[in-house]
Amino acid sequence: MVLAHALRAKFRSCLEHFPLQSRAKEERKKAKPNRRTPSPRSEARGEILRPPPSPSSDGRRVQPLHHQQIRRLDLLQGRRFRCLRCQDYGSSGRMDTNDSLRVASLWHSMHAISQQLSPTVGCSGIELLEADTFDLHCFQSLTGTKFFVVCEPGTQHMEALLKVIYELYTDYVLKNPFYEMEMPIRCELFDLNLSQAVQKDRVALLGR
Amino acid sequence: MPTVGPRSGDAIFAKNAELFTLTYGAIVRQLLTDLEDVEEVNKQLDQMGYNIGTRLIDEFLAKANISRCVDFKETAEMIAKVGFKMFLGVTASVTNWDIEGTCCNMVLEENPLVDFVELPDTCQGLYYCNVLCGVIRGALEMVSMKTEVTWVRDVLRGDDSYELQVKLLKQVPEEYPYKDDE
Repeated sequence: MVLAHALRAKFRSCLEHFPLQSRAKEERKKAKPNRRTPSPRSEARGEILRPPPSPSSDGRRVQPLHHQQIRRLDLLQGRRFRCLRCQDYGSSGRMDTNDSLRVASLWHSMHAISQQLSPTVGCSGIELLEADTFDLHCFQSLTGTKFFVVCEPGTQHMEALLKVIYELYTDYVLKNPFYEMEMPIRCELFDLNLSQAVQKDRVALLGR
Repeated sequence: MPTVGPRSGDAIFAKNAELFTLTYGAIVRQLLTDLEDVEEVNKQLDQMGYNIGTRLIDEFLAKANISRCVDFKETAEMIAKVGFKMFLGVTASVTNWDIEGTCCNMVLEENPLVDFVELPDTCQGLYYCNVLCGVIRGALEMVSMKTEVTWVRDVLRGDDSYELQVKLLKQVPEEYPYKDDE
């Protein structure tokens, strides 16, 4: 799929500027990560995923309880494009505001273009972008608001998480009478519940 | 003295539902006092409804878990059966479709907004439940449909039922490149 490759390359080149680092897949599953042995799945993909030797973050990675698979969440408004909210959860690769705006605007355009280029009729845009070092899951509501999450490759159940976040958005943002539509979201209750939802998701993932 | 048994949850909920009716009544009353002109009040109620509708649609989509409607007929059925039920606890029936399938009427069996209400002679031009028109219009606009919603029959004005007319003016899907109005 030429388009997928082109989009992937474009996105990867953009995100390679950001210190999003990959981790060995088996780290997620084993209590004592063995970085030397790549997991069968990563071998099948033809790549060996090793965590880069950065001294500061190594200590954190050894403890799976602090392992954070969800890197960041973003919320884009479709109509008048604006990035309404972005939140970093990952321990590696924090993006500052400019970077996140760049990602958001890039994604917004790509999502829209993909809708037009898609060979299937009635396509509603990209739902999943899989790259070597991250996955990007996107959910678009029928009103045009897009939610996307950048996470570790192969992270499961992100669609369910995005649905939960959509519900949180309808409750704590839209029902707040002081929130102006299509403005950046500054609702504490939303932030609180969002963190809880991501936390719960993280715990659930570790439990499996 | 006989002990009073525990009240059933339904009875208590009914009392709380009254609060909604009373609150709405207070809003209409205040608007009449502030604006004094019945037509202005109608417009304000519609605008308020519009603001509510633009926010309510996302909740409806999130909680009702429905997929995109194929045509306007399905949309109207959704509003009548699922939408009204979810937010007002009543259902409506859809009637009177025109040939193109862009205009229909919705008949409300019950209307919780108008419990205990009687319109005085001074407010005869008032559409008491005009907020509902705005809600539907606002909600549909957020899903790319421009509509016109008006009251055809209103019990408070002497008719025998509450009947809304929902007319689809045009579909306005968002296409790339989006218009940027800044």
